[in-house]
Amino acid sequence: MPTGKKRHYNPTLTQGRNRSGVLFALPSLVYLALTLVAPLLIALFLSLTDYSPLYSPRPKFIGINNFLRLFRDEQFLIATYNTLVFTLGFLCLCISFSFVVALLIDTGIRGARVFNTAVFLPVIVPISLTSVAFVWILDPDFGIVNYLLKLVGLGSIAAKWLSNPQTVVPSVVGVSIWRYAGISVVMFLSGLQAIPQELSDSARVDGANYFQELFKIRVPHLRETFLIVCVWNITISLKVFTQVKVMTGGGPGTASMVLYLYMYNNLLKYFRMGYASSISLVIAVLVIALTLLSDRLLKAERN
Amino acid sequence: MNKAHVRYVVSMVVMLFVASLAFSTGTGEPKAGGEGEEKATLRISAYAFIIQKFNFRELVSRFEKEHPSVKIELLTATQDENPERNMLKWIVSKQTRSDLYIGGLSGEMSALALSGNLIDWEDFLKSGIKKDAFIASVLKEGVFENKQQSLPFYGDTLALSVNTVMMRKAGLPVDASGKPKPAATWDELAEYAKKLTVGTLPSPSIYGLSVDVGTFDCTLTYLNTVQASRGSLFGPDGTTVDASSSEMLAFLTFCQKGVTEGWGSNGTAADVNYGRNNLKARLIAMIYEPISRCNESRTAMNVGPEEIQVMAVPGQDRNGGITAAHHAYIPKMSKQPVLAKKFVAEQLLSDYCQQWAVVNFGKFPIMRSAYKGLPADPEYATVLDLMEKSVQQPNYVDFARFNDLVMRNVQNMMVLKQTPAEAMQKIRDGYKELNLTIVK
Repeated sequence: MPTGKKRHYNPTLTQGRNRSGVLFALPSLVYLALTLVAPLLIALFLSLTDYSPLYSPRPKFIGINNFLRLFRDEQFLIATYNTLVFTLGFLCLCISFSFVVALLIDTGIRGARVFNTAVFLPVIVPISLTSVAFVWILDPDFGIVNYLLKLVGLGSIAAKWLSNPQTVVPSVVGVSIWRYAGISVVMFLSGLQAIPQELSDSARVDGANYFQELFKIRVPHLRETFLIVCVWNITISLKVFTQVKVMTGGGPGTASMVLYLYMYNNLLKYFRMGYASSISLVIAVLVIALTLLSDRLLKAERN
Repeated sequence: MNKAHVRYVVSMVVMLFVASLAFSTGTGEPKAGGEGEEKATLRISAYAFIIQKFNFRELVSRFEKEHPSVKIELLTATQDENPERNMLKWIVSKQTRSDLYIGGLSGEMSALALSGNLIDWEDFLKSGIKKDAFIASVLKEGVFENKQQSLPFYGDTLALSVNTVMMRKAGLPVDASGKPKPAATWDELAEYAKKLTVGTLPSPSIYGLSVDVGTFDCTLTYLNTVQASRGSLFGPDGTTVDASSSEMLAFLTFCQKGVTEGWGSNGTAADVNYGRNNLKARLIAMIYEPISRCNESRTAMNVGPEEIQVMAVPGQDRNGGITAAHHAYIPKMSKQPVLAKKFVAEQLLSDYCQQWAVVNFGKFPIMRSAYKGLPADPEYATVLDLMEKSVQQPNYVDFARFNDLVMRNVQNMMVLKQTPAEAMQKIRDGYKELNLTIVK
């Protein structure tokens, strides 16, 4: 209720509040500084050095040589290419698949709940177990995928899924969709259920068919959800590691080598701390760039 | 402070003192356990497969029975606890969670040896088990900087594990004792594989051969073949592993031809267990892999020496191959080095353990004496002969990167992304980036 009195700026009170605010935030700030900022700074420092704790006790400063070497390193370039191919494939297929599944569940057809649970169930299975299971499922001789293909007369499609350079990345994409699609489905479903029913009803009264209603009403209302799902899936796909490590080890050859696995190899197999740090920074830059881009898009959408 | 408070504080101090006395019993500097000796705990880390395949539960129980004052804590090492990673932890934290580590290949030990974090076994070999009791080539694997820094406890080399029933059926030579006649050249082996292949090429229902080019063993396969084909691992410079000879070109061409013609499989490029699983399922007739697969497959298939046998690859019966043993090692920070060595001597290297592991899982003994008590089987004589002739892997400083370089290029060749000659050229080019100093 307006009192008619003018509010006076009281510098002492404001400073006191600020101080309390800072004090309350301090534990979190210290935690963030220790767990995020400090490692980032250490990685930045190491990326400018030639350092392997096993062979040289002290880091040797070499400037930006590690970064220059990265762009001449065939394995790094292959890993970057594979990661981007994986990201693109996973993003497109996972979003399409999850959206269709969410639409199906949203129609409320019989068994939708069971279907919903079935799609979400893989999310709670550890990714390492999923990967081990899929090595068997995709086995060219014993695997159930090839068995079923042969059973229905599609034996010509049956392949050596993981030992063929052409099919290995798509296979890992497929496994990842199976594992992660449930989360995107839930996101889409909550977005769909937030659309007012009246809009759909009035569209139908005006004579709109299912597809007109879908593309003129639902999809425009889901733009923000699409963006969030996009950001989420990009983050997942740039971080792809466990599936590749367990299922293929980056092979055959370098056919499925991805950035995280290459960084891991340099860090824990070859102990090239400096070089591994430079790879980690490149990944960080990639993630930050894509996150900023999607953040901009999200803001533009809201405005 | 009132009287009640004082009483409370005093009683707490007394209780703490008594408790610390009680808990400190047996934690003093422990000695090798025995009757009347102080209680001691020996912490042993081993991979789960080693615990199973060497019957560790029984070994622990036997040791504790013989040394009632000793309690053994058996820790399952995870895949991430290979020696190099352990060493990184040791260097950073200056502590270790185990007194004795069981596992680790010699290639992984070179970095350990360089860092000086291991207790050597020299005294053990002087006063305990003598050097000549071991298969010499395998024992040498643990020598770094002229000291026995780790002790192998089981030996392996690579050769063909073959289904002799299929061989007989295909009209290939197997003698009356069940021993197959090795092929003298890669061309002859290709003929064997073609005869053993069943079904329409290039997608047969039974493959004649699978060569192990998987993540773990690809480089070992390559090294084994270099030694078998040429009688030496090294090229003209005497340091780098041969990647230019006509013999190796012949081998790689043989492998790729198998894939293109359909009598050879490249399944191990994706799944390291592909070869052995298919041998067990009788979907592959011969696998070129570590020889431990032979007995392991027999156990899984519930068959005996009449069906699965070991056969040398061309040149191996003359030149041997390479050894690939797993080692026991004691970190400098171990609190029980004496007990650790005692456990290895009394249990791990005992005839009981060495024979149990080979009969049940094909993990071959490194103690010569253990071969004497084994069941009659031509396999054991073949394996002992091959291992005696074999040589150790080169303990390069950059072994991990060397391993990946060879694996990457051989795999790319096996999936037809490059020719054998290109693979060899890329391996040679890759050498320039690596520190290939051998730790002797």
